[in-house]
Amino acid sequence: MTVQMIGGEMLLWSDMDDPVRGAALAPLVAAATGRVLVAGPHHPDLFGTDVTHDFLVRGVPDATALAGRFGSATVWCGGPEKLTGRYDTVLALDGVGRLSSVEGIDADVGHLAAVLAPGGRLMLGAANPLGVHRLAAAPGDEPADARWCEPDPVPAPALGQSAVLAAFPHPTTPAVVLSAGLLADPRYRGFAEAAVARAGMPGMQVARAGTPGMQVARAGTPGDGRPGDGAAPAAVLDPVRLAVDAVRQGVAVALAPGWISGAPECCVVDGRMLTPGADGTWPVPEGRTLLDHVVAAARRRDMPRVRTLLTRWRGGPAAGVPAGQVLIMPDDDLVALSEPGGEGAALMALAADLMRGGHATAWPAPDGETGLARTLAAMTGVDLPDGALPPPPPLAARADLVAQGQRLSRRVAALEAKLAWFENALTDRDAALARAYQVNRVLAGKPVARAGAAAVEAVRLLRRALRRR
Amino acid sequence: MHHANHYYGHSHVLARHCGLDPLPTADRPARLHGYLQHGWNVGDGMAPDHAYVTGTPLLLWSERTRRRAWSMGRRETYVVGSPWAYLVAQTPDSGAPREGTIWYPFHGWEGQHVVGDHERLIAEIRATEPGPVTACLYWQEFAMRGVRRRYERAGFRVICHGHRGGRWRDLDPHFLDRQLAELRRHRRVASNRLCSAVFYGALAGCEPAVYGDPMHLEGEDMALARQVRRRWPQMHGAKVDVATAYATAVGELGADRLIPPAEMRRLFGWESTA
Repeated sequence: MTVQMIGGEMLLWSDMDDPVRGAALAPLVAAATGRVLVAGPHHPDLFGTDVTHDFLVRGVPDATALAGRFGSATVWCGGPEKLTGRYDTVLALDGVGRLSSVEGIDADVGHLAAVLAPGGRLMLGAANPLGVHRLAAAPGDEPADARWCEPDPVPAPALGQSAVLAAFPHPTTPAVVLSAGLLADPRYRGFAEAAVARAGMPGMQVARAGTPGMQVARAGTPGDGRPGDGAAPAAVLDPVRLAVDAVRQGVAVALAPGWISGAPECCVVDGRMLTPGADGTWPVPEGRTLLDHVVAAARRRDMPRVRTLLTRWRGGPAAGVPAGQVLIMPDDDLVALSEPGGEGAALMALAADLMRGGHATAWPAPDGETGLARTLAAMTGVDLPDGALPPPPPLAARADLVAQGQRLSRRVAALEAKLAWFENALTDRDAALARAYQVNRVLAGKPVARAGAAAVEAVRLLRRALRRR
Repeated sequence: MHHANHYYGHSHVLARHCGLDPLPTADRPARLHGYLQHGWNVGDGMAPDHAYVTGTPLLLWSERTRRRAWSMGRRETYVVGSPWAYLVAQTPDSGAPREGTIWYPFHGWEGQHVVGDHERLIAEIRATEPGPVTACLYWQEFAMRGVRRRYERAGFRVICHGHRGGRWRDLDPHFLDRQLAELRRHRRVASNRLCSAVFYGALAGCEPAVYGDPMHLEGEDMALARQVRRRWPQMHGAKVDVATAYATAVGELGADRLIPPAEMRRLFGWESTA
């Protein structure tokens, strides 16, 4: 199919170095019905090669590539204001920010709504300027070429609506989408926390989700909260911890990196679409995560409870599964939401979560994350030798670096104090030893001691003589 | 870190819990990383006259003590339970019949002197206790012939559990074993002040009681003693509710907070000696 130039097309421009993609999107794309328009840069792997949708992109190279890949599709190139068709479904999962051409007018949702057939469905993505990926990000990113102007953000969807989907960990690369309805239901809090934790860091989730044919997203710029390729973490705060906390506090929709509105009410987790039953229940396990339980018990300083939780974890079928991926269901059974990754790694991850989350104050001066992991094992009755644990997970945020620095300072102060104590103790013992030597010398000069020494010598000589015989 | 860790054979009892091999002896106690609480108290669990090294953990008997210590600025704290609670758990009760009361008159520690009327106290004990009485004196009072004779004249059996040891000398790994054996011979345990021994007795299955002239140390501010009476009324009186007193002893001695041997070895720095 050839490309239909409709005006406003950009001859040398491409958005396909960073299209909207992510494991969570394929089931949503597949849910599109009727005559479908795909507006904006969507990764081609989201569609089958025999797709018959219409596509709208602004860059000529992108339009040409799409036309080459999808022989049955119609590809429009230019600004959305030039579109004339009518569609049952408009997919704009990237939002409207990358529809505008430098040659045309600034696009808004109205341009897409204008091409919807009566009763049609507009599935619209939007980035949240107050999403955890932004809250966690370092400031100071360089403006990209695409930001030749800054259109108003798409207004947030009415967040109370259960059909709003919260997208994690990044609006462009959602690995997980969760319905606002599920997120509002405390029964599914653990499931949702585990899902956003599994979605991981922005920029890493595509590889983690393992969608065939999709490229691993590259490390992004510091400004979007994705990990950089330098030694220091790019993010200021750990976006995953922030996202999990947002779920726990019931503000996950308000702080989600992105939203999708207009989709059927559903969740997409691990590439699977889940829908609620007629009674509003979801086909997912209920309960809170083991990590949540351990943190709560440690905060209360209920160490017997921590021991019980850890012992059940390590002694059961969820052993080796990260604590944030294990649910304690209402019937008190443990259920694993991901595959085990090794007991040592899971213990170390829990120690890191406790320490970096500020919950390790329940333990006395643990010597780092490895030390805490060994103590956690010991709480279940297991002595872990040095070297039995993998190294701690890399620090996810600069705030963790600061906290680590403070912790090390306290440790150095404690070691210095201990050193001073050892010095004093050594001085005391040196003095005691000197006194003991002196007493020995004095006693050695007494007649009784001399007689004793002579007797010992006599016995020694006698034994030697007897041995020679 | 401190010689007080070895008072009353405390570190030795815990070494048994940890399965140290060989077990530490009286003249070679196991050094442990931290300051082990060595008596029940209403402060941060530590003795006020000891110096503590920053960052070295306080190993406390009960969660209540830990909360109190935290509020007093102590951060490196951990509840391990009292050595007594480990000993009671280690030593099954034979179920032999018990008789009479073991009575611990309030005592000072090394360098302290108690002011009070022993005769009046003795009269009160005789009026209250239904059976034979064993008076257990601290070694200082036991060594004072006059004090000892008063209790003997009253018809009491007078004993002493021995020296608690100090500065790595005269350590007695079996001090608490003897105390437990004595307590388990008696049906009741009593004192004129709420103290470790009363809680020990309650945990060992004795009916506890706290009554009589509380006496006092020279120069002691009695406000604290009055606060103790207000805070633990369930332990005071000649007759108390035994189940409530037992539950209180479990909490104060941390019998509900015992830690597994592996955890203790790790905390104490005993991993290589197990």
